[in-house]
Amino acid sequence: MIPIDLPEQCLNVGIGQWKVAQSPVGLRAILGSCVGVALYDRFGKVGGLAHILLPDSRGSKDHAGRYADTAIPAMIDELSRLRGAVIRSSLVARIAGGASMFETTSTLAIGECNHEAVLRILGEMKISVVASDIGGELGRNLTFDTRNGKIFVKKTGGRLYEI
Amino acid sequence: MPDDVMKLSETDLSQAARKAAASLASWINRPVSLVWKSPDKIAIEDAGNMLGDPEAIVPICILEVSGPITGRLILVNDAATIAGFVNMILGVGAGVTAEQVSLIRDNPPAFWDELARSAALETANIVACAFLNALAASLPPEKSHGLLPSPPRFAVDYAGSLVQFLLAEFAMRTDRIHVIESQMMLDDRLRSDWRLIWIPGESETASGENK
Repeated sequence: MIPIDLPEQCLNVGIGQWKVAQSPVGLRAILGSCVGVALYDRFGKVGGLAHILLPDSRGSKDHAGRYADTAIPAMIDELSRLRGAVIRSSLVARIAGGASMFETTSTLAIGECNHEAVLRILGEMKISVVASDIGGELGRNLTFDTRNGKIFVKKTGGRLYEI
Repeated sequence: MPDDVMKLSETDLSQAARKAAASLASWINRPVSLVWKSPDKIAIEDAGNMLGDPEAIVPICILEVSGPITGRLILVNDAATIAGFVNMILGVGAGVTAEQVSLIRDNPPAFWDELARSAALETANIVACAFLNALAASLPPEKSHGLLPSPPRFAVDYAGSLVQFLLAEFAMRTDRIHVIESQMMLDDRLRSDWRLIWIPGESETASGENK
């Protein structure tokens, strides 16, 4: 088995945040019901990771990183600034997370709602989802390698794998 | 905020935590001391380490509370400590073996079989019910019987992942959550700090905290 070569330096992306980085700096997030949306421009070797907590801002202008409908456009704007040009057409997406960790009535569907919202928004922006690792009952430790756009995930008690 | 909730003072809450610590001491037949922390408000975006290092794998037990008071009650400690505690309850000695330490670190779900989960859940149930009974006693008599805890639920996962479950519902309507925490310390060789966390529900968090 070829050992996985993770980035030496990674920025942590907390709940309701997004961050962008340029190769070789990676991005990391711990995901539960949240969905991580990684956007990558392979020409500029730049990427962004949004750590989305909820599907819909319902028009709120505050805390853009918290919601799928505001975090993704805001992250694309920042990626464009980092790249020096509008790059939406060259972006591809990889997504992970959206677990249902407890069976309760009130939050059972949060992960699923986050996933659906992310797919809808990326679809409206015509950004292809080239890989996804969604759902289940376990959290995910995600690393985004901006050198190549790859996403690696480790679940509790599991091995590290590429999605 | 309902009147009943307004009547829940820090004194009521700390008294409930003391009752919880006493129930834990009775359950394990060992002395337990309590450190009470004043209620705190945490921004959603800053709550990622509420259960500890987000990358640490922790077992938690959680109960949802409905009735005149709503919220979530969480019992959390580090994995090795809870594992040792479970061993003690199951009568196989306090502490954990080197083999169990490896299993907890490398494959936590394998350690937490049905028996271990049951022991953890029973502990949570005893501690939580003592806490809620004490809170109920501080309510007006006509309301105190309506306080209903859910069956406790268990999960072992990244602390950062578990937090998201706890936060998602609150984040829909508020920017800051109230967190009320106490530490229960065992003073013998199983020395450790148990954290009992109470996150008040909708009615208690929605007033004036969204700015």
